[in-house]
Amino acid sequence: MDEQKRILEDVRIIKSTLDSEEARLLLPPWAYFSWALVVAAGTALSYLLYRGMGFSGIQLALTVWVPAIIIGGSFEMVGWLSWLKKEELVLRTDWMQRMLLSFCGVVVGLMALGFSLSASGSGLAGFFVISLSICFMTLGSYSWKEVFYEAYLLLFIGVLMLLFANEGAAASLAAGFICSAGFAAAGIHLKILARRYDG
Amino acid sequence: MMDNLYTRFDSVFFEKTRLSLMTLLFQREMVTFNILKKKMELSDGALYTHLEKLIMAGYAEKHKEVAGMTVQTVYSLTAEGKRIFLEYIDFLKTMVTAMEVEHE
Repeated sequence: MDEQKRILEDVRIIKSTLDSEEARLLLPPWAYFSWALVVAAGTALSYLLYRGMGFSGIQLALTVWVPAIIIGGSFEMVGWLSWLKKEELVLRTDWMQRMLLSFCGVVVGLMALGFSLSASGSGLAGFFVISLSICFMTLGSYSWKEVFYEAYLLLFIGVLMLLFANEGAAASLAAGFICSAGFAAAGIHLKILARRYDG
Repeated sequence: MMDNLYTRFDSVFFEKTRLSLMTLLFQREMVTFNILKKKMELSDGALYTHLEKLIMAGYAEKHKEVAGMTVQTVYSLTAEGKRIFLEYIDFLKTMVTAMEVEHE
């Protein structure tokens, strides 16, 4: 009986250690809130410039969204570096390299697609929401699986927009605020998850 | 059953804290001393002793690596450490299966 206890205890030790290491925060919640603010501001500004000054899609992309991505990306970079420092993570591990390569690939690919669609004058509302959903799905693969709630909700909304409300200023405005809300929701959700799992 | 266990795996490996350490190193690949201390909730001295035992046995190694924003000493499993850990996992699987059959 002792040996059985011993074996079961070792299984428990290994399982609890692996469970605690299964997922990580990756980015502090405030970075999501800063993205939410940047996206909301960019959306409102785009709407005003389109309505008031007749900016085209590509003009909005270059004058509003490139700076917005730089500002939001800078906040994200600061957040990511602070997390890296706090967790003392080693860059030269398979996990870290897989995560960085997948995030960079997804973000660069989606941005290229977004600018290409914008230049061609296509409706982008559904694309924006689905893009954020894809980013959250990538995040969910490396962080806690509960992040997939936001990811699939955004995917569902994005597909609906793609089918029924993909064109026009109102659809873009709605998409921008949905993305902003998505970031804010993810930030709150990750804050709760971090408290639950990391203490 | 236990004879088999002790014949195949040495006493360095057979200790709860060191098993947790091996699991953590296996999962994370490379870990700094501070993070190991935080995760294991051990004092500096106790953690150092356990790590040195794993190093002396040839299961773990330490080296300098960029961790966080600075160069630090990180710990990782050696090829032998990974091999013995996986072998132990296989052994546990076999034993748990045997126990299940026994109970049926």
